[in-house]
Formats: sequence, C-alpha cells, structure tokens
Amino acid sequence: MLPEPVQLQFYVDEERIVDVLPNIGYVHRGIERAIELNDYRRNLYLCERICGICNIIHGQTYAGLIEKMTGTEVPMRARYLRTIWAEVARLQSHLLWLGLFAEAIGFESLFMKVWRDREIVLELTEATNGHRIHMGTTAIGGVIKDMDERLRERYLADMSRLEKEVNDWSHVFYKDAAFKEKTIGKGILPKADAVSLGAVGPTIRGSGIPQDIRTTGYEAYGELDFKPVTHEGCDSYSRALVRMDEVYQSIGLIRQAIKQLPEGPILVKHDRFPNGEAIHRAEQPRGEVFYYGKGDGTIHLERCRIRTPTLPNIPPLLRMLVGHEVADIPAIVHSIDPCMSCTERITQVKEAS
Amino acid sequence: MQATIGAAHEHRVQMGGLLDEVKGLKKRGARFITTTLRDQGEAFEVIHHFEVDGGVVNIHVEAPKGEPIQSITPEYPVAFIAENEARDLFQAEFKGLSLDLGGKMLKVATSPSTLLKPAEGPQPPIMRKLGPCREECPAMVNIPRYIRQVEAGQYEAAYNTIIDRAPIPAILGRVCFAPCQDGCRQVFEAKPIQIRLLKRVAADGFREQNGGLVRSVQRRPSTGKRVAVIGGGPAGVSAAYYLGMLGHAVTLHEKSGTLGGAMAWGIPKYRLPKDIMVEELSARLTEAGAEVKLNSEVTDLDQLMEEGYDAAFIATGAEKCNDLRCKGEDSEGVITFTELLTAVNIRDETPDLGRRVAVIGGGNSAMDAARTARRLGAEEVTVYYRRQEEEMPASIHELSGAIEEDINFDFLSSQIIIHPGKPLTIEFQPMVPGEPDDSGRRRPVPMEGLSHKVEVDTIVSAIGSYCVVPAGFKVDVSRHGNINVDENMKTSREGVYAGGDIAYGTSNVISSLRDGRRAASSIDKYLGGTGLDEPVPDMSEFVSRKADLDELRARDQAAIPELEAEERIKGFEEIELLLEKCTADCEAGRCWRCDWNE
Amino acid sequence: MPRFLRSVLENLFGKPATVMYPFEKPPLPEGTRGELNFNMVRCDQCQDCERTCPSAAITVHVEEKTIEWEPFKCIYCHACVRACMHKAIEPKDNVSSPGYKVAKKTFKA
Repeated sequence: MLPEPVQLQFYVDEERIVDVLPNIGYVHRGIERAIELNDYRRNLYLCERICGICNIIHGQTYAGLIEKMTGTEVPMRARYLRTIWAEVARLQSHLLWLGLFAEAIGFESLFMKVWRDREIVLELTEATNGHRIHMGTTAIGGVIKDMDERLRERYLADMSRLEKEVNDWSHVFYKDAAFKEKTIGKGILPKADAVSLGAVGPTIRGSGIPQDIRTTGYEAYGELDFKPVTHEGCDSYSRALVRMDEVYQSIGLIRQAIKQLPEGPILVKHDRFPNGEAIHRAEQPRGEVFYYGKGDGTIHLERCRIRTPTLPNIPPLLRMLVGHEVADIPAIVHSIDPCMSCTERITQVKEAS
Repeated sequence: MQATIGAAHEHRVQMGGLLDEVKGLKKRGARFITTTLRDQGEAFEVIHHFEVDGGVVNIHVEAPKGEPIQSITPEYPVAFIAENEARDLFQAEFKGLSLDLGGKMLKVATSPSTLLKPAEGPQPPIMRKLGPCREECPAMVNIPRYIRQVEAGQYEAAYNTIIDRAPIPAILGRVCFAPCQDGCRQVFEAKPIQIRLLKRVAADGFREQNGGLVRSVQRRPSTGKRVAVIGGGPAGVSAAYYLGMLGHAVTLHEKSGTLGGAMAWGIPKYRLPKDIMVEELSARLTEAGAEVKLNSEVTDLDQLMEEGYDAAFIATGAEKCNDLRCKGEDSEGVITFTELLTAVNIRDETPDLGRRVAVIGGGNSAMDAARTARRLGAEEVTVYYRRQEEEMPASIHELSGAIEEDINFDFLSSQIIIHPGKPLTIEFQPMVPGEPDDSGRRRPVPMEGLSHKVEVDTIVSAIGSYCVVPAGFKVDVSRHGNINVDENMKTSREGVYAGGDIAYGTSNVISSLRDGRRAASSIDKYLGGTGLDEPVPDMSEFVSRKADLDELRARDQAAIPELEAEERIKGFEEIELLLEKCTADCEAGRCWRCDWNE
Repeated sequence: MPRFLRSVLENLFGKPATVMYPFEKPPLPEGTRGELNFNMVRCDQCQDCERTCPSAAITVHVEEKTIEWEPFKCIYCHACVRACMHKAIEPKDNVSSPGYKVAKKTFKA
C-alpha cells in the first residue's frame, strides 16, 4: 500500500462510514509559482518532476503547450516516438497500481510478481535513455533521442516477454473468487453521478462512459487504431479490470506504433518566444491532465495552470465511501489511483509568520 | 491535428452574467475541468475551463480585488475544490460557495529543517552573452546577427547591422585584420568562421541589389551645431558619418586630393580597389549630409574654429616614416614605403625599381611594399627583418601571400651602412635574440665583428611611422608625439577631440573606426545630445541554435578564394574573389550562435 | 501442480540470484547515467552549461578557468552534455558511492 499524503476525516457509526472530509495540501511545492519564475525552457524539466510515476506525460503535455504558443509543427516521427514512450509510462504505472491493489486486498506474493514483471519495463526504459523511471526524452519541438533498429527489436522482444508473464497472473484479476468477493459491489459510482461529479480516467471508464482524451487525436493517437476500454460494473472490480485491460491495450499500441513508425527528423526548433494563451490536455494513466498557459512574448511564462487527474477524482471518492465499512476503505480509496504528488503543486503565497 | 485541439473557444462575460452563461453550458452537457485565477495587479482574471462536445471552452471574468467573486458551485458543485484552492492561495473571496472550507483547505507551515525553499526572483539568473567574436572586435560590431542575416540572404539588413557600429563594410570585408576570427570559439577545432569574407558578401550583395552603396536613411533633425573634422581617413569619416546622422552639420577637411587617408595610400590596390573605397566613403558622407573639402590642409586650429564651428575632431594620422638610422640613408635609391605606396596607389604610377629590391622591416607595410615591388617587375625581392620570423608583426595571411609570390626573407639582420652608387650596397649585421624588452619580444643583440654585404637596385625602408602634430593645434602632445586623449577621446583643449593613429600611434582600420564613433558620441554629448548607445545583451530578442548540430559540425571551413600566384604578380588585380552564394550560406550556417537566447 | 514444479526445480538447482555487492558489481545496462566528467582541456569557459542547467548545479569561474559541479543538485538530465559545443562534458557510467557530506566537485585544467 503506497501511502499518499491525503488526510481523510471519516465520521463513522459503529463500522459504517457516514461522512468524509478531505484534507489536502501536505506536499505542495510551489510549482506553479516556480514555473512563472523560471524561463520556459527550464520548466520542461520542472514539469517532468511534478510526479514520479506519470512524469513523461507531464513533460509531453508541457511541450505540447509551448508548441501551441509558438506555432511549431512537430514532425510525425517525433510524435510516434512520444506516443510509444507515453504508452510505456502508462504500462509501468498500471503495473505498479495492479501490484499495490493486490497487496491492499491481501495478495502479497502477487504484488511481488507483478512488480517483478514491471522490472522488464523499467529495464527497457533504462536501455532507452539511462534512467529507470524517468525517460527525459522530450524537448520542445520533438524528442532528443531516436530509436534505431536494435532498440526497436528490443522493444518488440520485451513486449512479447511481458505479455507472456502478464498472462501468467492476469487470471487472478479476472476470475479469482477471493478477489471478486472483496471488490464487487464496493465503491459504487453510478453513471449519472460519475458525470455530474466530474470523474476522469479509469474511475469514469469503470462506470461505462468511454471518456478518453486519447480519442481527440493528439500526438500520434489519431493514426493508431484503438477504442477506450470500459466496463459496466461501476464498482472497484470494474475499475481494476479497466486497468488490467489497458495493460494489454498499451502493449498492442506499442507494437502498432513501432510497426508504423515513419521516417523523418525528430526535432524542429521554434523561432519565437511563447505568446498568447493555449491549452493542452493529455491522458495520463490516472485520467485527464489539463494544462493552461499564457505567455507574453518574453522568456518567462505569465501563468501556467495544471490540473492533474486525481483532483477531480476526489469528490467521487467522497461519494463512493459513504455507506461502506471501515474494512473496505483500502479497496475503495485505492481504486481511484490517488497520486498526491501530482495534486499538490500550487502556489505557496502565505509566508510563515 | 494539434491545431484543432488547441483551439479553445473564448467567452468573455461580466460577473453578473456568469451564472447564466454557466447554465447555458450545463444544458449543452458541458463538463467542468478547472478554474484558473490570475493576478493582474488591480484585479483578478478568473477563467473557468469546460469541455463541451469534445472541445474546450474558456469563460473569462474580470473581478476587481476586494469584491467577492461569484462562485459557480450552484450549477457545478464539484467546482468547490478548485475555488477553495484559489481562495486559499490568492485570498480571493467567493460568494455562494456550496462547500466553504473556510480558508483551511491547504495546510501552510514552515519547518526550519526543510530543504524546499520558496524561490526569490528569476531562477536561475539568466545571462545572454554578446559572443566572443563580438567581444574581440574593437568596434563591437554585432557579428552573430549579421552572420544570421547573410545566411538568410538579407544583405541589406546585414549591411545596416554592420554600419551601426563600423560604417565601411565593403572596405572592412577586404582589409580588416579580423580579430573576431581569432576570438571565434571554433578556432579550437581549427575552423573559425570566415567572418571577414561574409562581411564582403553582405556588402557586395547589397551593392548589387541596391545598384550602389548609398542607402536611403533618415538623419535626425538638425541640431544647428557645426563640427569640423580634420582628416579624411577611417577615423575622420567614421566621426563625420555618426555626427551627421545625429543631426549635426559636419565639414570634413582632407589635405590630399582623395578620401581614405592611410587606406588610400597605404593599402595596395590588390587588396582594396580604390574605386570601391571612394564609392563607399562618399556614400557614407552623402548619407550623413557632410560637406567634404579636399585639398584643404589645416594647421591652425584657432583660425578654423573662428569659421563658426562648435567642436572639432582631429584625425590626421601618422605618415612620417621612421629613419633607418644608419649611415648613407639619404643615398639615391633609398625610398620610404610611404613614397613608394603613395606613388603606386594614389598617382597610379609604375616606377622602375630595378631587378633587385631590399625591403627593410617586418610589418604589414613591409609586406605591402615587397609585394608591390614584385608587381612592378622586380625579380629578386628580399625582406630584411632584425628579429625572428615568429616575432614579425605582419599578419600570417600577408606573410604566406608574400612567400607564394617568391619573396625572400632574411631574419636577424639589421642594417649598418649603406654605400651609395648604382647598384647600392648595404652592409647587414647579424643579430642574436637577447633579453625581452617591454613589448615582450626578445631584443636583438648584434654579433660584433661580423657583417655581410648585399648589392641591390632599390632599398625600401618600412620600419614604421610616427605622427607630427602642428603647433597650431595647441593641444597637449605625449612623449611619442601623439595627442593625449582620455577615454572619451577628449584632448586638453575644450571642444577638441582626437582619434585614430594620431592619438594612439599606428593602429588599424577597425580601431580607428571605433575611435571615430566614440568621439562622435562624446561630441554629441558635449553639444547637448544623448550620445550613442553601447552594446548590452538584449533579453527580448529570440535567437536559437539549430536542431541538427552534428551536421553543421561536420562541415569544413570555407577556403578563401584567391587568384593563383603567377596570375597575381602580373598586375594589381584584386587577389581575393567573392565567395559563391552557396559557399557563403554554408559557411554562415556553421555559426554556433554564441549569443543564443532561447 | 506441474506449473510450480518446474519453478521449484529451477530454484532448487539453479545459482542464487544474489550479487555480493560491493565485492561483485552487477552488470549495468548501457547508457546508465552516472557522474559527469568535465574535460577542462576542451573547455573554453563559455558558460553555456551554466545557463542551460535547470537546477543551477554548475558554476563556471571564468578567470580561474575552473568549474564547480554539485552532484547533489544535479538531476542528471544531460542538458549540459547536449549544450556544450566542444563536447567537453562526458557522462560516465559509474554510480558513485554515497558520501558523508553534501559536497561539490571542482574541475581544474
């Protein structure tokens, strides 16, 4: 169970939860203010470090924002490469989550096995650019590293190996009776509530609504063939299955993208400072991340607002928890995949007195 | 693809109409994304972001500080988190908030042991450099910018960029000794950018496009002040140009019949064709609205100032040759380099120097004299220098050109006696390098008792020159005979400035141009103006390095296109040819853009 | 039953997976990011690396021709490696051992 720094105050009656109040704000680091003080080129490195797990997609979204503000057209090969690496990040994040969820339910050796298989992905990342989790391959206008023949073959070989290992244990999530007992019917989020409460990501896809920002076709997703994964159960079990299916979907997307990789340059330089307002959205493993930026034609950005996916998932969480027992709390809280380091990056304006 | 998802729809509403707008969006099935608050000083700008039909809609509202902001939680209850967050951070009050956490949503505490500290000011401090080439240039010409303009084919823009600091690009592109090229960072890989050749590409390219070198530029409105410039060399023309552009009425007095000064008589025609030189100097003076008086020597400054000038700039140069200081130096057949070069360059004469010529000296003037002698038909030309080859002040370019033209060199020989006659006989004494003197070079020590004799038809002495300041100027003169000036080119006399060779001893064209510009700035301030600005790095200009740096690192340096040695000595044709356009683009593209600011 | 039998036999008769660090070092994948080495013979103190570094971990002293690098502040992004036009910064692939104090490394010519 990965502890996240969010305080949930529960009001309980015997074993039943009656009301929940969230308290967040334990890890805010002043990132939005730091973005205004840094120059726009250095912010790329800062944005990549907002979250430890979903880092490369933050970087790509920020680069996409600056590209819109400077009017740069990213070459196709770079977009495919960015897509491949975003899917690798998604794989790595979902495998992490599956392991943690298994442990929260009580399957500790499954947790170890899933994380051992995640090592295949991490070694692949390290072979790409030298860091295990953090790829650092994004630049404004493209990517900085190319994939040559040897690396592509390694990717395909590792994807096959990973698929074989995942097939070994995925039946636990799909069919195991103990797992189903603990997750079916827990944390119910009806369809109408999911929409009105503004849930994003697998939280809303587990309630049967196919909301996936990748369908808007940013980067190279417009040319890949996939459909958003949904399940109709509206409970924790569905959300777990959504993520399990997305693991297979990511493996398929990586294979498709490597096969379709076009030739061409990988980096295009922009020719002016970022100017004007722009927004960019992307699909992180936890949902929709939203970046709004305003530039004023100098080397500094005037304002940058980042809305990460866990923040809108908190109101549905509060609704989901009411009426359940205290023992179900881990299964439910974990099913929205909270990532608190993403959530807290807002300005620290109050000075200590 | 990227453009369509970026295009958000912007709506601007007043605070009162906000809820109605949001109701309308809710009917269309919009999903709330987040709220951004921006501090604009006097007011906040509140932007609500919604997703509607797959696209994003932004609603902008202005909220003056002190007034509560209308919350949208009556329609979208989930907005409470974003609005509470904004309330905590910006101390903005919201009215109608459905779940008001009372300013306690974010916990703020400071721990003394934390490594996280709030940033103060821009992080990290950003610098932009001028570029090592620009810093080496005495005149601080904006070299990286004009290289980029030449690469883009914008010759007129490049020409104007250079004239901003040094007004004669066509001449500099042929004669400048280019200290910038020694400052280029690529000299470590033995391929500095050919900056001087690119300058000529810009100037000749502009001349061809424009049909001449005269530009259509605006001078500043007339100030009513008059300035006299004495001397038509680089320092004088530079000062006259900048003063004229600042609005003053300038009169330039030149003693001889042609503009150019040391550029006219001193630089040979195979380096600098005289028609180009006169064309460019006249073009600048025409643009500056300056009056030019040739054949007008000035020796009495009081008399000149009585004609109604408010200030004067002295740039008369150094043209008296140093004596050989040996017996027999007045013999017939011993000439100074100024006599030889003036005859050939200005009067277009072709004196017969005989078959064997000896040139005494080791600087660029000695090289010019030797190569001129070669072109005048001398078959054996020997240069005698009293120190060693590595200590010669002549540039390597000139030296190698002289060697290619079959000129001989005799080092560590100093002249003792010249015996008159036809042919002349010189006795040379061999020297040995001794202790270093104050220029850092080793002072040659004569080897007593040894000497050798050589028979030649003509001896040219080229061991440097000095200046003579007429007493009628009434300014303080230093021990070496130069006018004393401070760092603003001001002399000891009120309203009188000096620059160029006469102030600093023999220097070079680009340093004299800098002196002229600096003096123009000082004179303008003296006459009540603001002067000219100095270069500072401009953070608002966008310059980025190229994407594929490995490709441009693989390019070779462009070679200087020159005529063959046998072709050259037949006459006084210009040795260097213009770079081809594709070579120039390739060479300019090799620049690393050391003044990048992205 | 046969599934885990194979796994049991493999583990029973196979080599232990433990690597006796620090006496043996496990093989590092190629391209692992380790320390930076500044080659001061090629450096001409242009300060491009100092301007590019996102975390201000590099300080260039122009007159003394030395560079100070703080391995604790460095985020190993290699922006400086790409920015140096003389290729004077080389990433090594050793993983340096932990030290007792937060220290800076100085590189002299």
